Amino acid sequence: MSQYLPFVIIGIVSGALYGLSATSLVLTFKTSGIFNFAQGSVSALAVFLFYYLHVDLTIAWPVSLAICLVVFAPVTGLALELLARALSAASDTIKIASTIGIMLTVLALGQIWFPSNPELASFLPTKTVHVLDVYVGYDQIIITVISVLITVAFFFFFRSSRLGMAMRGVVDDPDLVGMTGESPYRVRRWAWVIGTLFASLAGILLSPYYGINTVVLTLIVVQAFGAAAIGFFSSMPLAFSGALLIGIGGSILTKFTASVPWLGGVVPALPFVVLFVVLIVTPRSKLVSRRFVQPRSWPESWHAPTRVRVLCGGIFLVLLAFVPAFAGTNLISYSAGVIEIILVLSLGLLIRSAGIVSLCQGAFAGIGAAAMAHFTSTLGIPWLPALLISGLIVVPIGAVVAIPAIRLTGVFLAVATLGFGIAIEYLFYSQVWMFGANGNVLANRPSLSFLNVGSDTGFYYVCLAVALLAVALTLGIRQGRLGRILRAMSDSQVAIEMHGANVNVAKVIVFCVSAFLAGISGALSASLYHFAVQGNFDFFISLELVVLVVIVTVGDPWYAILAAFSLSVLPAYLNLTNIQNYLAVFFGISAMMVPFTVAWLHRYAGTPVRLKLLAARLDRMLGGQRKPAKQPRDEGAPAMPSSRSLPGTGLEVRQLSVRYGGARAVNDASLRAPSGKITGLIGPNGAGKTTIFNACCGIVKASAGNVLLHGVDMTRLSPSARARRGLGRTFQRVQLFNSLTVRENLAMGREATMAGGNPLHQSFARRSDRAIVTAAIERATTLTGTAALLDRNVAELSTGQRRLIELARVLAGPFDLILLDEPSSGLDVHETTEFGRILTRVVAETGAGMLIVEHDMSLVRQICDQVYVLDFGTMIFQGTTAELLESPVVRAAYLGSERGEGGSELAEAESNSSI
Amino acid sequence: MLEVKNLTAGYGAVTVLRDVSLTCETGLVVALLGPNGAGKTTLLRAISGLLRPRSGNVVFNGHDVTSSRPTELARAGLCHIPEGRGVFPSLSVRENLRLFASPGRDEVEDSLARALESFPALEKRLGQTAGSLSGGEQQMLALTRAYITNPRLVLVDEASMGLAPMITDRVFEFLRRVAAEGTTLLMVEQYVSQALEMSDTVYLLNQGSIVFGRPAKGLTSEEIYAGYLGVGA
Repeated sequence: MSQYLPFVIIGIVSGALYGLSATSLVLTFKTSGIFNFAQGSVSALAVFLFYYLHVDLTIAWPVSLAICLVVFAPVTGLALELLARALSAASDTIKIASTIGIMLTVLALGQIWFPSNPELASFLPTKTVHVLDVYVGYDQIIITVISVLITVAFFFFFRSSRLGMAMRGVVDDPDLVGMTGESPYRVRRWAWVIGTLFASLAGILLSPYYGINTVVLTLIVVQAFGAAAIGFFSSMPLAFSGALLIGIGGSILTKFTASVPWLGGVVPALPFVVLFVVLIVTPRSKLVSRRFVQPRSWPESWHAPTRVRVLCGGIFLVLLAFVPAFAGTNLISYSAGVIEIILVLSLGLLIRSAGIVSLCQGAFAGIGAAAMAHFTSTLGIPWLPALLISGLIVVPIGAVVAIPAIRLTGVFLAVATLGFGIAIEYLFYSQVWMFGANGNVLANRPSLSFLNVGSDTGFYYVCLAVALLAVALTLGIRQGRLGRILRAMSDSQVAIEMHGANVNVAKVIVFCVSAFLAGISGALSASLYHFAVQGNFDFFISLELVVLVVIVTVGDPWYAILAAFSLSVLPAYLNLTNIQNYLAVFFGISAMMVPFTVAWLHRYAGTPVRLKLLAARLDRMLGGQRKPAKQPRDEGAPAMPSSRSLPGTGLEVRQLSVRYGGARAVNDASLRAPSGKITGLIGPNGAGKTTIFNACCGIVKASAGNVLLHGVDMTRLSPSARARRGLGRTFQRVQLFNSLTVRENLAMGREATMAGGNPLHQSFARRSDRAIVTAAIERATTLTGTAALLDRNVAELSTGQRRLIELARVLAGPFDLILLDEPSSGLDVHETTEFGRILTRVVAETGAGMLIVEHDMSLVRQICDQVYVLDFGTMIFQGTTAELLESPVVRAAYLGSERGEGGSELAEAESNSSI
Repeated sequence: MLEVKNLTAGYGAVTVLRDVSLTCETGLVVALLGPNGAGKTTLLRAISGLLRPRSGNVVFNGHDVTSSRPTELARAGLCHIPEGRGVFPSLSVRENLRLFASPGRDEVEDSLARALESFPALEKRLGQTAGSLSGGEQQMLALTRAYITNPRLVLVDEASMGLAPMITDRVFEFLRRVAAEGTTLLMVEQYVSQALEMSDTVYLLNQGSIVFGRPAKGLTSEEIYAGYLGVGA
């Protein structure tokens, strides 16, 4: 036992500091909903300042420390709170990119200011004392005691002071805090100030052990993410204990790994492995993103007409072809830029198409590069097959990262990918079989007998050719079915599933393709430099890529070209020392500012009108039409067929019960919604109507009972499988695909079922599909009278139009039983009546069945054949609308008891209805 | 006490309230009725500053508070008890009460006593987290805020929602007591007959617009029900 004791003690020291950092991370995340990726950067900044004051200005350490804690921390905390407030309405991607931007900026500043990673002499006494057979430094004791004391004091404050209570209150319900007369903003400001204070202190206390090494400092504190994950990013005591465990575990592991060189990366990788594993195995419900404000959505950026884009692309390609003629010694940088295009595209596919942020793209490329080196030089495999295999070898790794992508979204997914990337870096980059003993492995360029493809010029063209293929592949994906599914998914995952597409399949495909492209890019870069170089694929490049993809907002594939060239070609011409780092600072700050500028950009700085006019004129000169192409010719669209030849019996819900936790939301409810009829489901607020819908669709699990469609039990099917059986639905809050046009929305209504769960069908549309989709759109627009809206962006529609388009989208699909959730909410009286007429017509013409949850009783009376009334999760009435108006039970449910007026019958009805 | 003038409000592209006007006289009880989705909750949120209206004004106690923050309004004596349960579920009952009370120390002790006086059942629950209370107890806890802070105006949103009839009776009894102390009350309620019984004025809201505002006296629940069902309101 005693041989472990020294390691345990060292582990406790570092664990306590991680704990301090993890506590502050959880505090700010819980109170503001913003996950601060830049936590470690805040620590690093504090250390920079401390070093400047204490070493450069030779100010005594207590004074320097005090300035850092009393001046720097509050100012930074307040600034971060402002940022967090601006981010509250931003998309997850911007939330992530903004704090990643800070991380990038500080990392680059560290390289500029402290390139040699100077040592910092311990400012605490380092004399040792003999405790339990071990020599322990006073500094270690002091650090541990300080960390533990501060954390305990904070827990006490958090539990018992009014401000601490208010902080916990903000986590529960910020609006309610405001209603009690305490400003939620003030509470959050305090949370950020305290969080920054802890992070600064942790950084400064750690710095004597690691020196002023920004990367190490940043990563050391990022290790706190692993601890925070153990506390599910929510419990501070758990996070602190997790940090101690990670600290001690890591320290004890050092004892074993010290004698086994190939295990060297295990210790630093441990927190990141923990992070990744915890995020994979934690129940999804524990990791709910805190979102207090709904994100704003912006319309898609403008695209020039296709002919103009092809022309511009052609001109640019010619320019690229002439690069070797003028580039001179910068040719290598151009080759690197062209290779970088592929890497940016691989990430853009995830971020721009699917709204998924991956922070491990650099690791994908690194694996590709190492594979290429070993295949070409060690194994002597011919170049082209080696390139392909290097790409393919990364594909299964992409699939592994897709596992968290299936379970997690937004910030948690980004954290998981960051953990994955850094773990790979620590575990494998230093292995001899990866990047060799010195961090680089020899790689070959291609060679052909008849063409010089191995020279710098020849290889430039090889890279250009591969990049062109990558552009074609990503454009094809983006404009093909998979791209549409992914965009629809990033707008509304639940809606795309309810129309029959299995989004998990789409996610796995896109991660695999992305990993493949990143691997190819890494492999090419290994060939370019004749070496696969470890340093080219660290997590820094992953961060920089994410930041670039977010700040460069021009269209496909130009963003990739712009981003790649500003990474690789621009520095070659600027020819300044440290230019890479200055650029990184610029990119990082730009990303940080995105939440402040995005609204402004969209309002004022859209594509200039002149440019649009110019593009339109150019288009006409090229032979384009004056107006956008009208609907394709009528390809014999079948005249109003019912979606299925034989309507079945409709939907049947048998003795359904649903529980949330211990509470029963729906209790033994049964209903039938036959084909060819409209059935109503009404009841007071909170009666459980939407829960019944969700149980029918498979979004919530029934604790008992069955759901049958046309006599077939669907209770065990997934939501998308139920949709493919013919069950469609709309939502209480309209769920349109906001970045798609109306036509694309309707097309997705039909296409989603075609894609289904088959990877092939998700990736490629069959030739015959197009006619079917066109016919479906036509049928849906005729039924709903929305043909005039087809080419509009859904973001610019009124509520009434959005409701109609949502209905049209579900009508475009092959659904013969449709659930409508409060279709009249947000509509005025006229719109509601018209909506009702459309529903009646649809049912008459298609023979579909409808089940409708509705609160507007006049609409219910207008269209429903049968009505069910739900109260407290129990069906209390079933009958025609005429019977409904006469029913005392329903009356009681809606109006409450009629004291003094009603007879015993009413009282009885009430007591039956409300237990 | 409260005057809402030509208020139009909504979320994003959705307009929920259209040109709504309403007045609450000091010391009176006003019931705001209407079917689900009529915009009652949105109106209360707009009054208490949680939602910035697109146009129109809110005048509270003689001051225009249209663009005031909820915090400022709460300090000025407006108490909004939101729909659902207006409690902090992860805090204990005692902590909830401490947050409800104004910051001064004496007032904390005082308000605790007042809260227990209004709902003695809470005394045994002080150490429990609010989330572990039954629905009825949570609502009682939420309602104490209308009493212990001595507000001028109380907005109550569906206090009886999802509660068993016996608990509902106690909720109404409590609201009557608050009103009897002279506090102005604006209540959104689904139980029409109880609301009619205890209110002075009734506004009926449907599809985001006020259908009528009339003295409660002489108004029958038949007329309200007819308005709900859309059979000639």
